[in-house]
Amino acid sequence: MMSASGRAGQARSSQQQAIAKLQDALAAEQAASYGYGVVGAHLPQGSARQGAATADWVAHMRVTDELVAMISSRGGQPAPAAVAYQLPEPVQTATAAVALAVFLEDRVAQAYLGVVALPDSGLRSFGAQQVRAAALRAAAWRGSTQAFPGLLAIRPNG
Amino acid sequence: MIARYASALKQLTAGAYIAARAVQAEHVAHLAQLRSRLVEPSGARSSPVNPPHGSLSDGPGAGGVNGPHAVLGQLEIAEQAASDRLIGELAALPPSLAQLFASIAASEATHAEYLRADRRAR
Repeated sequence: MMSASGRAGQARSSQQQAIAKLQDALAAEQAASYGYGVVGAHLPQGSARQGAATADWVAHMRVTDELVAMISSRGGQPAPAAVAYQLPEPVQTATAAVALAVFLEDRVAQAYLGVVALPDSGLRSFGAQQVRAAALRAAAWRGSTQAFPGLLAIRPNG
Repeated sequence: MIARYASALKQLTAGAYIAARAVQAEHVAHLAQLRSRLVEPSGARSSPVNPPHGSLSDGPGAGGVNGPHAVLGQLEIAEQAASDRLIGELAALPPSLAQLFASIAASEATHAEYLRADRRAR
């Protein structure tokens, strides 16, 4: 049987684990928010794709705010966004911008799968909804679907 | 879902067939992963492993569909329902299986959107 202090310690550890995974998701969202600025700047002015980039950027900003609130409400200190982020590839064309959007969404989906692994059912559901949202955005940019969004270790046919 | 797609493919032509066939291939990959992670009870080897989603004969689109638009529409509904159902089942799962379910749920949501776009383009 676990003592009261043991239970309190377990709850604290579980809370810290949740905060760590939410921080990971926050970092991915902050990177995506930065990245979409680059994406939008390299798409034709006034195009549907630039409009989509703006809508996706706003979506990431909204969830960033939500994550900040979730971390704070659990006693954590939300990590601030970096001033700039290293891009996976230089972006100088619209094609590279679209590839960056796909990359950002894949990273976001991956980060939220960490939230899905937490024991808290509410956080699991939140994480799964965000994996789904990121996968939908990624598919729109990619023009095709993927069998396992966010699960980079699984390769279909592999 | 695989059997549902197999049935639907018979009613689809050219472009719609190719789109649905690509999605079906992802369901095959889902099933393979689920089979590799789910433990079959001993003595149950003769019965097929039932994937925890995508009931093969119930739900929207199980019957009464005709024409490519209707077929794609029913598949869309089935995909969205399967995605929602998987997310609803996450709470009871061990972490790694919850991650797999969430990823498959996300994939199914993208299938629904992909089929919707394909249907609208026709």
